[in-house]
Amino acid sequence: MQIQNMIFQNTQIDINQLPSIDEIHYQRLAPAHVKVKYISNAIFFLIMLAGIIFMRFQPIVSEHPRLNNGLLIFWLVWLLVSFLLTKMSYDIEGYALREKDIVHIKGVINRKQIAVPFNRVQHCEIKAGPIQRYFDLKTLEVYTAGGHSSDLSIAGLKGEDAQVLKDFIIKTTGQVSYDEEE
Amino acid sequence: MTKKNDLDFLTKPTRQSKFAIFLILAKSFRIIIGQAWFLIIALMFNPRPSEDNWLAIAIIGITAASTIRSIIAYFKFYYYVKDDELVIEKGIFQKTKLNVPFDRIQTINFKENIFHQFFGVVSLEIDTAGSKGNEFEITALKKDKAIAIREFLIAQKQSATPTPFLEEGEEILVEEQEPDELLLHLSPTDLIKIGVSQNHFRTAAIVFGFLITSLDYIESATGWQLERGIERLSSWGANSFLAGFITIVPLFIIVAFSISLIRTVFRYYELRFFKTTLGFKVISGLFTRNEQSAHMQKIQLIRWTTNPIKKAFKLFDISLRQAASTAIARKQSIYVPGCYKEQLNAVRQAYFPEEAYLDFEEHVIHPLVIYRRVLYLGLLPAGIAFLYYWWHDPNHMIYWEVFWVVIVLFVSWIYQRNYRYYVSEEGIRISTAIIGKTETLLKWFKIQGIEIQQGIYQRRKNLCNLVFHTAAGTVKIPYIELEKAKRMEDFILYKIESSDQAWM
Repeated sequence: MQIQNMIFQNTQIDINQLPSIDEIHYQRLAPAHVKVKYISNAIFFLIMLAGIIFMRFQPIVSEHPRLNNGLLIFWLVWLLVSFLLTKMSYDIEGYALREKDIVHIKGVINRKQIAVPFNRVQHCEIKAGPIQRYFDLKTLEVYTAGGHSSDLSIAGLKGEDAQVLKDFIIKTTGQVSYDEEE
Repeated sequence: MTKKNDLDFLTKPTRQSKFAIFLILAKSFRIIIGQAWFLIIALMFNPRPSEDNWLAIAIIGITAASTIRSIIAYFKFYYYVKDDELVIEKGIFQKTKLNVPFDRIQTINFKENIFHQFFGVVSLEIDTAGSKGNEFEITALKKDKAIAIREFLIAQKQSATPTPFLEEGEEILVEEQEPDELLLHLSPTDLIKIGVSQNHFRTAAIVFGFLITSLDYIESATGWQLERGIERLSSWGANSFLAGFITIVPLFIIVAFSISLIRTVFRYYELRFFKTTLGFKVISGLFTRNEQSAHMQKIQLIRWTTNPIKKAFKLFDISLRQAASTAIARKQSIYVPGCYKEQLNAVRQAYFPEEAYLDFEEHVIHPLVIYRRVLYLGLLPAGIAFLYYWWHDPNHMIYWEVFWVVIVLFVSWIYQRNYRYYVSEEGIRISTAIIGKTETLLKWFKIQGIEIQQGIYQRRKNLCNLVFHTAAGTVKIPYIELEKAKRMEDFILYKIESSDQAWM
């Protein structure tokens, strides 16, 4: 164990003077994000519908028409709920970049707010799926050593915003700096 | 330096003592037995030996092969000193040459087991500063030769740092660990105490699972008709509930108890817990010797548990959680059973030196957590179970479901009543207790990210769960007031962001 030889400091901290998480004004995601979500939802539900229709002509299910109807109703309810939740979660989700940390809030039913200090960031990545690329949206992933549950993943950022965010985080955390050679 | 004449043998490649053959053989048998002990036990009680002639052949074959291997290994093993290095050459099929520069040698240990003592030899172990796997062992050396080598190596090394070394005379083990401070050495009595105070419920569950999954296998290997026996036993138990209860439950308890005891002896035999210059180290094991070490820097949080039996013995189990990806986190954490307050305090002091003088503010969690737990763990499962049984039998009685809900209510009530967290400027201590008690100590600057979780119900009541993500797992405080959680988050973020201490 090492003993830290530093000058002893113990300045009093006024808890009320600390920057508060309450005062955060969350940045909303790009409006196109809802469209991306709707489209990927639609694809998912179309595949599921195809499955249900396919099963309708299978002997096991066709003998029990009520089962298939039940599946269809289930499909419809799930579809409505998920589209509704997509819209609601868009209204809630947001992120805030502060000088020393990044805060992400999301979730309609179970709300989660995660704050990751920059001096705990391991690395960050920008990702984009095919639908996101069409709308020029990006996903920013911020990884910490805290494992999967504490990693931030902000989907639905405008392409340039994601890059700016990433550059800012990298600059602040001082992980990689390409500028030194210039 | 010692007399040069004694060390002449070191200059040219030398073999170990001839007894090494037996010791290598004994070691390989020990490994084989350690891997296949349950098979061997099953075979010993085999009522139909005639059908399994091939097994006798296999045993003879394995014995012969191991013997030949040991003999070859002996003849292929050389050690000598060349320039500033100790060189070891070995390998039957794959030749290995190990070079140990003198200045890299950290510790030189002698180890003797019963066989060593019988033959009057010792095993020499050399530890280097490198990572794991950089250990060298000469299985058998005449004791005087070993002492000469050790003195020679220490003298070579001493020029840089004079290290005082202490002799520790023990029955089975003579060892020198200059920089390591021995915190705990489990005596056989301690071992029994640990065995007695294990979580027997868990062992019982493991035994039950093992029996269920390997019933067929054991039956075919031994010829025991277990399944019929269990059936008879359970049908008899069903006929007279009391009689079944009286026979099955004690039987199960005895089995679980003895298995816990045996497991404890296997795993924690000769456990030694050291405080090293960099952190902590644990060595233990009867057949397989485990050595785990943790660097203080890498330890993210510490946790200790006790249960009523352990409390009676004044024992704690301590686990030191090291930074690791979740998949290997279990392996990365050091677990020391059977510590006393003294060792616990040493660990706490090393991890959180400020704990001794800082003010800790005591907090409780909100009582609403009880109703939530009763709803999710009690009412919901009980309701589903009731519906299920009622569907099959409309006359189904609701006794068991009610009983379950009452138990969950009681347990949740105790949980909430006993939950405490103590907040200080540098870290937090969380204490939970239902039957056993678990305490967690976490320093703020080890935290990687802070999360506030709120379900619908919690939002309505202005409550939340506060979750700390660390590199060695998450720590969660359920049902605390939102305002309090936010103030804590502000403060902890400030602490993390203003600290330049490396969390690892």
